[in-house]
Amino acid sequence: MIDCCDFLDRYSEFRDQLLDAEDSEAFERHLESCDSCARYDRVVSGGIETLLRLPHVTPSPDFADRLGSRLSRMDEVLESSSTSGAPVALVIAVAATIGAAAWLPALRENPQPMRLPPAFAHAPYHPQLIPMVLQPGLLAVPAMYAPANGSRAPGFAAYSLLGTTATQTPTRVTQAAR
Amino acid sequence: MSARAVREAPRPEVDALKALDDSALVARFLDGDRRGFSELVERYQTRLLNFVYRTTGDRERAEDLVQETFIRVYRHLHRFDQTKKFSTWIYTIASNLAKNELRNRSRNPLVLFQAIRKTWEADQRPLEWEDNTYRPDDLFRKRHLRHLVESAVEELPEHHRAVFVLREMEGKTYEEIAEITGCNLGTVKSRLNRARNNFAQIIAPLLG
Repeated sequence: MIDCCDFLDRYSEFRDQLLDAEDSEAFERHLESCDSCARYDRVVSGGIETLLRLPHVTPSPDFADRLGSRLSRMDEVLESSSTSGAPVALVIAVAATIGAAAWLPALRENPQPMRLPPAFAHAPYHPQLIPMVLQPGLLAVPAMYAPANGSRAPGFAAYSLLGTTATQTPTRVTQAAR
Repeated sequence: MSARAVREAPRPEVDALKALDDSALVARFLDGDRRGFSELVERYQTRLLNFVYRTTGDRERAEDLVQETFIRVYRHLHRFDQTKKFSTWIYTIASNLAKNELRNRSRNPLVLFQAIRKTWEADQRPLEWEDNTYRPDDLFRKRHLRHLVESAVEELPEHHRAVFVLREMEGKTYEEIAEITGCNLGTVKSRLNRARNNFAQIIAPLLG
């Protein structure tokens, strides 16, 4: 047994025949006994019948033409973008060529190391105790610490870090050696 | 090419195309036969126009939106999942465009004003203006009922109206409506029930 609230709550399911047989029968019985719900059903059905009889709006005569024109324009845009997209590699190649041509003179010259004029310095009056690297592989120490068996020069004595003694007067130190 | 395909096609070929179902037309179009698209336009233009018109209440704008719907179909048909129903897909696109239109309209006071003015001007038509109540003249009553029924649909809240039109005028199933509107089945049922209820309240004075 259903009441009017149940009927209105589930009316759409009843109208669209989505109820099971038992519920559907209960709805039918309620419709027979309830004038208010029967009227509601009549109003909805009649209204929808009227709605379906309303004249349909039809597309304007130039609808297809306008659509066709729009699609054509769209095709043209797509085609032009796809054709302009194909030679992207070509554009890149041309740009690379131009770039290479611009840089070629600079690339062709042999790179020359920058040569600075030699710098001259005098031996210090008070040689420091800290060893100084004169050039790769040579260690300079104050002469007073030089081993006795090597020939000495005033100022610094240079020793090979590999063990071979070399003597050098470190009055001439080039920038390059530093 | 596409423009020509939309505008014209030889008669026997048109008849052959008409015999095909939507999915076959979609397949033909994707195979390069643009007449498949032409037939889809022919098949759906009036249905979509009525659906969008009933949803938005503006005939001219509805036509623009249907054109836009077909443009989108044309552009994205290659992405359409062919295991799904084409009609549901195209209605979804149209429904979304109509929804956007209503949203934009509600944000734009000028358009809203124009819509109100249009409705007001329509209300000034003498026949409907004469009398709002029932009259024994049957012809008048029928005309008035039609007008009232149209107005009743327009007066439904937007999300109720879309569900109502899809069900009552387009004959879509609840599942299809759920897919088109992006709602679950329960929402579709409740919206449809409320829409029918509102509709009945508006037209009840003339039917009963």
